[in-house]
Amino acid sequence: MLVTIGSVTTASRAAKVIRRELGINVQVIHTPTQLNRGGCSYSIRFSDNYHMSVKRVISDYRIPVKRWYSEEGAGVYNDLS
Amino acid sequence: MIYLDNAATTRKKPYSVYAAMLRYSLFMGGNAGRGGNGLSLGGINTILSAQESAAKLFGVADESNVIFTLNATYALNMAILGTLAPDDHIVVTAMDHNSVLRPAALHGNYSVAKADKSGFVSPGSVRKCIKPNTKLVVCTHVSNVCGTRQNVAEIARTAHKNGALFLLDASQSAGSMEVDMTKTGADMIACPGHKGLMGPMGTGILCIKEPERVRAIIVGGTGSESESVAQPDSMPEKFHSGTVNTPALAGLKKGIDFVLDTGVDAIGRHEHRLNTIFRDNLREMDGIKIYGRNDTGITAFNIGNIPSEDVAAMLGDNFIIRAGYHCAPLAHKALGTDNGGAVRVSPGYYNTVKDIEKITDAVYKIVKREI
Repeated sequence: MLVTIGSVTTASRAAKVIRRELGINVQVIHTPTQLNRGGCSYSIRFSDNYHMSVKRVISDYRIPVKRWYSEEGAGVYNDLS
Repeated sequence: MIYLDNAATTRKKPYSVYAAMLRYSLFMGGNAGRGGNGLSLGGINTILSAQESAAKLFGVADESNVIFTLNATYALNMAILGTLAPDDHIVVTAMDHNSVLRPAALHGNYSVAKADKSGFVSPGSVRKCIKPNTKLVVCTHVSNVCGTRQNVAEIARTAHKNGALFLLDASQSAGSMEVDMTKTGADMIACPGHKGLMGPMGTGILCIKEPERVRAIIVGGTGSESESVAQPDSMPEKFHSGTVNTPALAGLKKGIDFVLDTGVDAIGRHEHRLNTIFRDNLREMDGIKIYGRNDTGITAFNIGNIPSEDVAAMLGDNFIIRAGYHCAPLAHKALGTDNGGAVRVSPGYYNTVKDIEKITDAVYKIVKREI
């Protein structure tokens, strides 16, 4: 699962609160080229299993995110937004 | 040498503050927010951790609304000049520091709420200054000159009743007493990081309840939305243009954590106790005039007609204190010390009763003209 976020600071904050609230592994990564609509973009990446839990945390903390994607295979993403 | 100028800066910091700055500088050192590499992400996490600690101390619900600045002056300027439109009116108080008075004067349309001879600003005095176009009321929590504490919660209510925002200058209170965003009713809190919060110089904090109501007066590179020439709205990037002093924030976080662990009440009680002993000692001497209320850890006084700067010179480098006007000209006018200022002694957490006994002896010698 990939969530694109406008800034690396916000992405890092999202990863930090998700780790704190859910105790799961979250990575901050450069948004893959095929999903990057120009400029600096960062994403958080985590297991699909936690989609709804992460959504709740992001909503609770009012963290601004752009789009939600599921990963369908290497380099293939499905836009869930 | 005995350091008793904690109202200017806390000279001694917890060891963890120095260690954190050294650790960051030696082993991390990436530019926070500039890239997704480990060093850059480490820098961001340092800033996020400092925000968490500050949010906890000030009761800020959303930690991303904690901004780091160069000092309290920058924080106050950002809050004042970022809130006011050209036709807006601002109310400041006679006890405010020049870091509030000068931005208000620069804006132009301002009124000054009066203080009484003890340095207390009544909420009624603030009310009298409010106009239909008053957008912002600013008040210092504790006077940097005489230590008098203001009823800021009531002043905040007065501001809100009239549709204005309230900016709290917590430069002398942060770290020594509870400064809670909800309890004080503050819409914004500004303070330095290097005084009661025990952080290094070159750090300040601005907490903003509603960032959308404040314009960024300094804009530039934030490492985000770089494809656009418009300043991002996201927090804290909206107010964090340019490279942030991350090593210092690593230290500030440890300073705030020290304050949280020790407890603001315990720190404040210690400082107030030392201050009370000093004031009681001064009262035993002839010809000494003490100014302000004994609310905190600051005492202002004069010895007869001896200019305050001369008293400081007589104390020399044995006692680090501050004389003169303390960048607060209107406060000295209110206290009746505008002709020469006053001597200020401000013990901190690391001072002892012994330090107070020693400066008492030195002041006594000046009174007896033995120095």
